[in-house]
Amino acid sequence: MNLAATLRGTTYRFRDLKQVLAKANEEKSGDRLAGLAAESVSERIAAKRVLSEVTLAELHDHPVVPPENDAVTRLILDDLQRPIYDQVKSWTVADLRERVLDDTTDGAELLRLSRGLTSEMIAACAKLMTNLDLIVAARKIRVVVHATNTVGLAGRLSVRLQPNHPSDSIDGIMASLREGLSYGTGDAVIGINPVTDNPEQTATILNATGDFMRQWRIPTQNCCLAHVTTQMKALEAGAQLGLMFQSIAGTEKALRSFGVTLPLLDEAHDMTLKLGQCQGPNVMYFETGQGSALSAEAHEGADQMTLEARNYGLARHYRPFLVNTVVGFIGPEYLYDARQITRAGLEDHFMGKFHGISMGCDACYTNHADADQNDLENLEVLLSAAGCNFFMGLPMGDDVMLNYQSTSFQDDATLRQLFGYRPAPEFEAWLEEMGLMRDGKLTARAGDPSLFG
Amino acid sequence: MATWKVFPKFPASDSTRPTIDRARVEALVRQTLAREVGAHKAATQQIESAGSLLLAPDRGVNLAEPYDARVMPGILAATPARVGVGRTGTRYRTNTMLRFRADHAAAKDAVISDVDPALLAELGLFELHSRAPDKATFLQRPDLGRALSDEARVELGKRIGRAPTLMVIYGDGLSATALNQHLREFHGALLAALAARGIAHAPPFFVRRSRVKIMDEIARLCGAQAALFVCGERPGLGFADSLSAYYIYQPAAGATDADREVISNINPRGRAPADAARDAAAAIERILREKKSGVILSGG
Repeated sequence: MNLAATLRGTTYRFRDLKQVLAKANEEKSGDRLAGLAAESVSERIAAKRVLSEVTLAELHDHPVVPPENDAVTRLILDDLQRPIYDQVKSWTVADLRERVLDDTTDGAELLRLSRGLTSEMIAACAKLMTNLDLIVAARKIRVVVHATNTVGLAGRLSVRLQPNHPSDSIDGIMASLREGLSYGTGDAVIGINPVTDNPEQTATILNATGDFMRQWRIPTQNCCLAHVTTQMKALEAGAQLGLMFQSIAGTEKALRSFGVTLPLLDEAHDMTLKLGQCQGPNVMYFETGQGSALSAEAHEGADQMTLEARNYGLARHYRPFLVNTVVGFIGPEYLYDARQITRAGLEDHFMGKFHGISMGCDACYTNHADADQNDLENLEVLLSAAGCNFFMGLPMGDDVMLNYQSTSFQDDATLRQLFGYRPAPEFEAWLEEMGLMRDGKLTARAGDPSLFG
Repeated sequence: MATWKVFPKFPASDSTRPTIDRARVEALVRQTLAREVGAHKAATQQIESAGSLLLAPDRGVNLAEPYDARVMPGILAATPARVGVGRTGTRYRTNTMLRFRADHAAAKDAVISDVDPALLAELGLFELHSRAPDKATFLQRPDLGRALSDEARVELGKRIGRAPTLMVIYGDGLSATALNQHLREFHGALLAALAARGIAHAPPFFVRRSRVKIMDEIARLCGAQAALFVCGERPGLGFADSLSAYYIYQPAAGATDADREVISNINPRGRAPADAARDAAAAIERILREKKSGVILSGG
């Protein structure tokens, strides 16, 4: 394997493929924090040059964490479809990039190829792509999933309604829920982050939202984003659970720091298929984000973008209904400013889609990142152009529990209108019935939470 | 095409009309006050805008004619979230947009501004620096905010005697605003409470661009029995002035957050700074007596 490249007379040498993958990344504060970033712009481009000539077989043979040490690596390798891998293994990363962008390669072909690609290969491809490359390629791919309703169809944009409350007040959650429904959001999931992580509180939230959905006959699914073990206890006790949630990470060590193992996820998946409220077959919901393994001091010397790709390699095993990167939540130590957040959002969305998962994005920022509302709106437009399956929806985008800013109900409605996107079909029919939407447009009564008195 | 029935038409252009209808603004403020503090108090309360513009309220007010007016107060009372703010087209009303931007501005300013040197001088605090040379580096490199600069180590050796019982350390953390607004009250109450309990302490000081774990290094360098570190919390939207007070007993080199205790949400709406200072003094007396720390004390 060639590990050196010469740019304008200067030769850059790299230690191994893992270092090439790291140094080929666009500028990210997290890679710098980890001591993995390119020292100069030229070194970054030299790393991309080296990576462009690496074959997919070399990436297959050198995962960033060895399989003997890591269950995530083993899962990704075990899930590969061998005949497809054999067909592509002699390709270079440059070949893969050009095949992805070629006009004759459609979304169905990309999803077929995906079955023979490891997460490292998909990450490597994305490292050679510009922002517009990432948008064009992701746009080709449609991943359609079904739980109670259907997310991911062409011309559709769904929303996770996130009616969090700082003390888990059910009335408070219901207030934001009513507001969100009145803007036509909530078709991806009604998902609440609880303050208190225990089975009783989780069941209370699930049953309150479940009862409301039944009362108003809302064709969607609910979720309470407690720890997976907490949700399993609530589900076993009979709570009305739609989707089973868990935050995941790209190494076994980081997963363990989240209190998660693969057998535990297997058990949760199995239990949700049997006891959950949704028809399925897609019943899992995962959240990810670049930098999470590093912040758990479990990145195993690998860069945050490659580890993020491995999240999707893990996620696809469970055929999730929803996966979203929480791209600006982690803070400026990992993604410093709007440029880095935007880049990571586009990378994550493409990498997730190319893994064949139903990919959304929590386009967001914290108050100590160098980003603001205008930057957030830019990312939302870019991801809408890229065919993102879903965004978040919060009152003015302001999460009064988690203290960060995400996508607002008004932004979601604007993006749908701007791009001509509609909600999930079952949900759109319900909105029409409620008089909140007509011919894909909000009616005059939309935006009034008192409708659900 | 939808037509608006809930919102008044945008007023026609009229050159004689003032840009801002002050009477309307005051009426809106009274309306909000009535909801927040009760109708009687609102009617009698002087609304002092001194000829300048106040931020117009939006929650509920923007939906002039809700579908079910009876349920709106309950919805607004149930959550601090920005519900009932309406829209123009699919976008925010102007008062909503400005209110949001003002809240975000307060948060941004809290992060990027600096603790006032005059305040430090007034309180008799000397100043040291972490290894982070500027704010941008500080935000990207938490490791540099957790270590003292070489000059600071030398200075510390000169200023602090060996093995003090307690070290009182302040840092900017992620909100200088919190210190600028509440340090005076906290520090005064803390000194009084420590004196009342007979807890000796080294001269208090401030470390610019520092993070919580810097207290461990400082306590180890000086051989202190216990350390208290008070800094600004990461600002939320609309509340940028919260302090947190961390304290630890004899931090070892590998001390983690589990070895530390914290009183958080210190601000006039949460735990009042003077009360929090007295709580901290009581807790420090306990960890000195029990010779251990690490039970998490939840915030107010």
